Amino acid sequence: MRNLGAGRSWRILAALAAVVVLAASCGDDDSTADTPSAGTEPVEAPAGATDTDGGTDADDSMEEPSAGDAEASSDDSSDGSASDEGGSSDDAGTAEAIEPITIGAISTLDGPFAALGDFSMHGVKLALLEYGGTLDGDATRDTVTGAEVAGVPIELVIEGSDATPDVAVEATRRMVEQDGANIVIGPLSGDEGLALKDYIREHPDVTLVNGTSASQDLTLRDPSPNVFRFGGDGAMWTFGVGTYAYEELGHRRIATVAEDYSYPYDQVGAVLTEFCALGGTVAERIWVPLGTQDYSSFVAQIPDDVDAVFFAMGGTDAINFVKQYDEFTGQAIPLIAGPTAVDQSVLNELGSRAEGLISSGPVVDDSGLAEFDAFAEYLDDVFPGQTPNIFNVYYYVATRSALQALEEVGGDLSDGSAAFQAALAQQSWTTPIGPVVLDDNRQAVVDMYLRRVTDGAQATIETLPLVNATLGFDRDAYIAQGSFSRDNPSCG
Amino acid sequence: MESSVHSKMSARSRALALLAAAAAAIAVVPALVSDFVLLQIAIKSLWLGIAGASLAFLIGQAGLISLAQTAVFGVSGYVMAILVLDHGWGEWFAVAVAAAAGPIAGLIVGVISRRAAGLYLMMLTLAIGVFVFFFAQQYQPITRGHTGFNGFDAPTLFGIDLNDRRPLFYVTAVVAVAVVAGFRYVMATPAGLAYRGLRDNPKRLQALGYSTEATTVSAFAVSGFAAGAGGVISVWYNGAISPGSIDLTRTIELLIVVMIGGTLRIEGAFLGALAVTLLQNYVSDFTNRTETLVGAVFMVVVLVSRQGLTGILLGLGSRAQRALGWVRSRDSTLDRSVTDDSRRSPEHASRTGQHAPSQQQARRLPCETLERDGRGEYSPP
Repeated sequence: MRNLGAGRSWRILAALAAVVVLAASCGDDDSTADTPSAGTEPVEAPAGATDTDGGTDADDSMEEPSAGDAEASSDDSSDGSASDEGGSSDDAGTAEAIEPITIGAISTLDGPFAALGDFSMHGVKLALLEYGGTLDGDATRDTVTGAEVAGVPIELVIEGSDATPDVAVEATRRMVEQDGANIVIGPLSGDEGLALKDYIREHPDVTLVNGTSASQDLTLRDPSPNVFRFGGDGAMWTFGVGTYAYEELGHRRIATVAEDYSYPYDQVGAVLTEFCALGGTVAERIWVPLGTQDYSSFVAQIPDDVDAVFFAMGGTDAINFVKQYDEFTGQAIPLIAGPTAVDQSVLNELGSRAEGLISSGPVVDDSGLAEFDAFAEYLDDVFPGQTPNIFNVYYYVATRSALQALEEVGGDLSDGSAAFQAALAQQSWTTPIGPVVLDDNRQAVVDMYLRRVTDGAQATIETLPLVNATLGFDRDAYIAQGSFSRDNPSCG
Repeated sequence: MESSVHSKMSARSRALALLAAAAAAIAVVPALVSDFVLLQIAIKSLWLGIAGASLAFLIGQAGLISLAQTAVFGVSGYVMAILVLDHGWGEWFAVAVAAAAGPIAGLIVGVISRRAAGLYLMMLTLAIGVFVFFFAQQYQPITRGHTGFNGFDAPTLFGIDLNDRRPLFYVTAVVAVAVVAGFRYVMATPAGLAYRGLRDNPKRLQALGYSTEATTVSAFAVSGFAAGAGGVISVWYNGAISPGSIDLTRTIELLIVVMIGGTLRIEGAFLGALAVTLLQNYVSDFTNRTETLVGAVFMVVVLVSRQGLTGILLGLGSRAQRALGWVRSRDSTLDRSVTDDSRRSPEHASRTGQHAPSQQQARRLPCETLERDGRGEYSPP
């Protein structure tokens, strides 16, 4: 057997190589053939992108994409606003070949969260299309070309991780050191964010603008000067639920069921911090391993006499849990959801069972914000069938914030990106999910929404304006209580 | 057959030549490649190769297909991270303990699975691997759970900071050479012969008075040295360790490294690690279907050569030798070129191949298999 004829082995090799080439080229064909029409028309660059003092102009900018007015992308580069507002390197730049600025976007394109990775990249691409870019194709890793900010061409590099920190760091290193990325957008999950913070700290001239990593300590404790987060963290996303449960729903004693890692700790921690401060107690905190299939033993641990059960899980874990919870308890005790358990990206999976579930979170479908409606329309235009969720909105906001700051400094990344990072820290605009400003740790102060699932969409109960990283508590005391964990905060 | 003195001489000079080539390559590589390639390709494939070598040794020498090597690797990494970051130990003390933890963990895996073989061994070791993964993920007081350990700084060696890439590369390369030399040494001892006996014919090994269980356990323990070393260096490389560093994906990756590299020689693991690392880093530049392409390459390599890239290279080498007229006897060339190991154990290929039935057959009828393969120069150990 081992003396396999040389001819035969080469034939096998050739055949397989042919198959591979075929598969690869098919992929490319697909992606270029089906390029959405909206993407091929460069969209006018937002005029209000550079205001730093409020959100009024941004209203216009959000409506522009839907106007769909096609304009040659090169026209955008001659937009005078950038050089007016502080870009002095413009002239020097146009004299010789302009060094492009590379934006690297990282999300979970493989592994359990691959679907969420697709959503995130939609957000990144939408922001670049607003700056005159054109979609290369509709596959996730197809980039956007032709985008320009203040006359400086923007290149997009896309990398994927499988939600493990090691792979995320390798992918980011590839973008930064191999592809020369100046700005990194991402990552998606909490622990990836912590690992990237350590890596990016060693590269002070590179700027990390977080995607949806919701770990508190990305910015709250030991922050890195080149890490920015334009969205909430896990605790902020859960803001208001504890108070609402106590005051409006009249709950006094609850149980929690959550996945056993840092992100759900933050969610449970935030709920209990509020709930217990008002005098509520927690009967049981139940932690389930990520990816648990059989929840019977955990559901059995839920005491009968609690008023409600708060559950913080994501994706299929949430779906499996709710299904088995219903079977075991007959829905006797009401559920309160964590933010991603009922995010728009998974709401369909829960179907009618999701109806009426109360949660807090950054994205609602009926906020009435013109920016949100424009974004939803724009998203559906470019990526038909897609609706806003936490991932496409957050990645969009991150990318857009970076591009706006770049425009303000005229694409000047000299001096270790000092001017750019300063401008980024000053970004203040009305995003599709409300106004955003950054605190001293470059962590966003943003609106959250108390919401109820109604007709398969998230309906607002109450807007919680300008939630900060310490949930309105005294900053020093809040930080001193330590990271949320299985048994922190202590409560009842 | 030539006189044994002659073959010993040539084996030694060949080993020396290999060592010289390795030293030259190690010296030259940092000057030739960028910092990025040095870290993410060279250092990565070296430590992945070190871990892979431990598995290649188990599979290729002792015929033990283990899925617990990632767990052994993780135990060492975790031990070092815990001792340094949670208990404030000196880095090198922690390294010493972590390095010792590798063979101890290997020993434990061996003791648990000493009676299993084939598919059952794979299932048992898989269970151990998954257990260690979930232990790391769930037992927070020790392992910090899902987040694991971040911000681990590599130690300094004689005043040289191993966080810098060149020193880390040299240290990793030296460890890699030591691992290869160590395994080659073990393979040359009576113990190495016993491992091959375990692989080729456990019943006969037993009849000769060896304990197959003790042999199995010691093979796991020996392989644990390399797995542990790989685990320690991986923590330096990543600056972190988390359950994601030792999950099932990583277990399969290690297996792929070994299959692509081939188990014929310990060095094959490094070839496999290099191939996998290159694919992981550069394939996404060409296509959206990264995983598909990696999988296809894996299939091509395994289909074309049972012995992975090593087999392909050795085959090409012998063909070149013949073309150049370096070797006179045409018939014996191919067999000999596919190394001493296979001469000692012709059914090796089928043992480590994916065919369970032929494996059994080989175990029962080594001589028949031999004759059918038409290889006359086999002499039993």
